[in-house]
Amino acid sequence: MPDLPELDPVIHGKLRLAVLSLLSSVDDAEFTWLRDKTGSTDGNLGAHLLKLEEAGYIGVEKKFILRKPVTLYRMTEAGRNALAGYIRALRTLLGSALN
Amino acid sequence: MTEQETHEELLTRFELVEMMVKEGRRSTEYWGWTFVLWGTAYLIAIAWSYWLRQPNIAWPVTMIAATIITIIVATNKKRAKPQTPVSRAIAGIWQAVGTAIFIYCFAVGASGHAEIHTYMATVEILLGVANCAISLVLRWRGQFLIALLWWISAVATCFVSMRLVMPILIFDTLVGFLGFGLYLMYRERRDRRLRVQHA
Repeated sequence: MPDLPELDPVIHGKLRLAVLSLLSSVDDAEFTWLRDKTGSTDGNLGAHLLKLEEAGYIGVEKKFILRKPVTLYRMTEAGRNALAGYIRALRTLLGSALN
Repeated sequence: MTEQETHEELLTRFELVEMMVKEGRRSTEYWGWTFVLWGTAYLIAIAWSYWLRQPNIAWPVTMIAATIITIIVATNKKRAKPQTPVSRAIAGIWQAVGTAIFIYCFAVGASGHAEIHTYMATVEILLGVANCAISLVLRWRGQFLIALLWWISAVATCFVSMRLVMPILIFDTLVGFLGFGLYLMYRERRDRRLRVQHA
């Protein structure tokens, strides 16, 4: 019997998975947009974003747009690979249930 | 946790990924307001040129003003909604075609070699190109019909008499800019309403 794949614990948390999935479909996103889409609180989202950043899955850029400070989050190549691997592992684990 | 519970938990994760990816893609902004803005700018320029007889001032002033307003509003909107590859492609097409039209109009106007039929037809062809390219990116027939409208008008402009050139441009502006823009804004509002109902 083949070994079952392991799920990346950094991504497995619901909020971190939601954030990575959102970032996979856009160029970059503001903190407030991520908060609204995930329905999370500032503190909770900030803590999870930090974990993703520490894992190298997302990058952060702070800049000024129309003189207002903006924090932009962007998925890194490592993050994209990690999410793809996670989805592959999920598919394997769920097997025929997806069909 | 039982095996059944674990299985359901994993399925929930999979559905979460699908839902969030879809949600991110849905963030592509409708640009109805730009069509309305540019349609209004065209009509102001046409009216200003006709009644005050100042086309050399009317067109550059209204076009530059519309460009500045577009940049300011678009930058504000970009803050609220992130860009997707599709929205970047659409913005790129309009920027490229808009720049081309601006350079062309400036060069022809400054040289004094403008022949009204070919001048208008070229602008209409370029507007058709932008609408066609976007309809291909979005795979949307509605916008392709707008491209066709500009192209048919461009051909017609080459053949009609001088007094019909402006009415054709006014008709295209009313349909291709204002009408289409208002339709886009209506769709955007409808989509928002549906999203709230499904939330």
